[in-house]
Amino acid sequence: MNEELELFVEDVDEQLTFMENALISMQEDGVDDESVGALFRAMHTIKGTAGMFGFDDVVGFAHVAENLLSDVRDGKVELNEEMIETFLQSKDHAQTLVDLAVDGEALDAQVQAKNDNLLAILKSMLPDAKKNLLKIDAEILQEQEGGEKTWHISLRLKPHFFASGMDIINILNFFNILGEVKKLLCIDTNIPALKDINPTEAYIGYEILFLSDAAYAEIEEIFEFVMDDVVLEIFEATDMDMLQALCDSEEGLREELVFAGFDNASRVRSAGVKEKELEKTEVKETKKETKKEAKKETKKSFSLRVDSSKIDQLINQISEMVIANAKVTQRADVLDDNELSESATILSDMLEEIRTGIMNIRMVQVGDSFNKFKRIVNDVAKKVDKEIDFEIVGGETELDKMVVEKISDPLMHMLRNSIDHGIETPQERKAVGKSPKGHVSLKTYPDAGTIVIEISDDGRGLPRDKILAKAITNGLVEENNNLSDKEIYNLIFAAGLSTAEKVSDISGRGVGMDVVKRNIEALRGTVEIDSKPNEGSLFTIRLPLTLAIIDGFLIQSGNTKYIIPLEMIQECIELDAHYKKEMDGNEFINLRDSMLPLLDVRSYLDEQETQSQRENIVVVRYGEYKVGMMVDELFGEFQTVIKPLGEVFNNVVGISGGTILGSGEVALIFDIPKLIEHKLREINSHGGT
Amino acid sequence: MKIDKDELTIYEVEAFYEELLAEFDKGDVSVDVSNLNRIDMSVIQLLLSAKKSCEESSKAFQMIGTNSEVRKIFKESGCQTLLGASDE
Repeated sequence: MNEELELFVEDVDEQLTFMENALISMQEDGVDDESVGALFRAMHTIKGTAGMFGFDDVVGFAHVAENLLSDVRDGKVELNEEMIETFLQSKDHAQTLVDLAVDGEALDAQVQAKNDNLLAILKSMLPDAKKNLLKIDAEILQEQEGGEKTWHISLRLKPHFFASGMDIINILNFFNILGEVKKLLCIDTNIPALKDINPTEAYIGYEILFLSDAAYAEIEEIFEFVMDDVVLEIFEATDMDMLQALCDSEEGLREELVFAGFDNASRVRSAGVKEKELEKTEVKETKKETKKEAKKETKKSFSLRVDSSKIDQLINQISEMVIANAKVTQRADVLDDNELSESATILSDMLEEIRTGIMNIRMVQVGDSFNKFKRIVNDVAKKVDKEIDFEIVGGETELDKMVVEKISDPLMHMLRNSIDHGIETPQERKAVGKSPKGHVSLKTYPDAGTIVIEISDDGRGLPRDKILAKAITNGLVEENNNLSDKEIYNLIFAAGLSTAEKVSDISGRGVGMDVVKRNIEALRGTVEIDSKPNEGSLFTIRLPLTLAIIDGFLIQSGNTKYIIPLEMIQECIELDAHYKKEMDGNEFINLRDSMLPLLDVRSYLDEQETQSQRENIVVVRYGEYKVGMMVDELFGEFQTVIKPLGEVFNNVVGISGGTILGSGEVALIFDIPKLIEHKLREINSHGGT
Repeated sequence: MKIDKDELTIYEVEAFYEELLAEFDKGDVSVDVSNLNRIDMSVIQLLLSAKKSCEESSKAFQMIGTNSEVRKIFKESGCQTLLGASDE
């Protein structure tokens, strides 16, 4: 796929998502002008861009939809439930059409039937007077009577135009869709002689007389993708001031225009006649231009599409700089050079700011992406005849875009499960005294360096006994186990364990939860379940906030330096004689009246005894669990660039990567969730002794 | 000179330019475009430049074998008349 087409696909994607969100929000909160406007713009943009690629099916369809939307916008038609439903279908259909067009495939019978059907429905919704006038052919957009105007479009390609990858001829062809090109004059005056030409630069321009009912903005939109690569003037052909200004701006242009049959041009003065007058027009022109520039600027700052690999590259480079700066800091210490040390600190602060800035570029609000679940929930609920009240909380929470995309499928699967298995039918719910409407919520919030996503429902809860029985049959656990309820619930993440008696097309095929867990783990996240019979289930997903550089805390145990992610650290305490006495050979201490399990890093990782006089405990927390890590030295905060370790380390539980210190030494990064899991398992396996 | 390619666009325009320049230095310019089905504006612009340069130095410029595809593109580009390619 070439670049323009990719951009097109992305753009369509975005527009259709806007459309879906607008429709869903109207389904919930009633019709509002802003959403209708968004709908209209989405269809309008799709029609426009598809036209540029000559995707006639898409243009034809989008045109009819746009037409109806424009009437909705103007208040000629009322947007009712049925219509919203139709537009939702139209959105899906438009996606199909675009996919087919991009792949260069023709519509098959089924899609064609759907196309005809939807078009018929959309057309039937139009106000009566318009139905007859509407044609769905190439000559679309000619339907509105009376509004036709002749526009003068003056276009000059900037030298770097060809680098935009757009072919000006395709763009010109688009005029034929929007109206009728009366005159097309190619301005070749600026083309240099063969000896002097740079063949990759553009020198050409156009003067166009164009008859159409399209508005200024619609014509301007033809050039949407090349706005920065052309000099463009659009004005009504009757606007003599503009025409005068245009003719004055280029020598000989007036004569060319007259010669080519731009009749109005003969009515303006030749260049340089009345200087005073001229000045006036010039001032006017600059005014207009600055106004336009300003408009363009604001548009630009709104959003910018950047290849994500460019950001990754930046992050990599920043990572290297962080390491390099650590070396400088170290050297400054060795030399005992205060000034150098100070500069290194400033540099380090700035690097941190840049890093946060870059990371922020990748962050998106989860709500934008999660809103699509509303529709899926609606669809699924309808399919299985259940009533669901679905709620998204914390949509403004920000998460790395890549993570949001990857987490989307697992979430969808879990939501489907909740509705299909979790929530009971309205009758069943009434029978147990619940409201007939089931409640499912998707909640997102940040917590200690992680992002938590919770899916909860108030359904029947997980069938504990059934899961256990199935797990025993499958040989996953032994018969005489003493698993906690939580552990049993978490068995559903094991492969091949579906307890659904009825296989529906929504869930219950036994592939799924294990894939869900794998996907989440691939993002360095964790997932947990809790459930209470007849009260509902709660799935908790935790995802790391950042992927490449973290704020770490540097410690030493034995002869090795380690990093603990700073966000997970709750406090540091000195392991003094008092505590040691209290421990009395056990791996617990009493921390402010609560029991804190300890993990001795030295013995866990076979570190040698050190001569260090003091021992410390770093209290780390992950979710609801706390563990104290016994270490030797505490060094403090350290900007940590995560580097992957070799395969040899794959089997070391609790080490997630390495980093390079300023001295060139390697420090190992603790994987706190894994360590805590390990510690808790160890405690449990001792049977609470 | 005969163009043996099926399409000539911005990607090939520099090589085409070299050929065209060599042809121009030799004398009259005659471009056989009968194999050509697709061109873009960068090439049209170059042809226009060649034609203009020929006119200025009293050399002949002609294009031979313009097929319907290319003629259509010329028409759409508004350069049909400028290139003198209106009739075949």
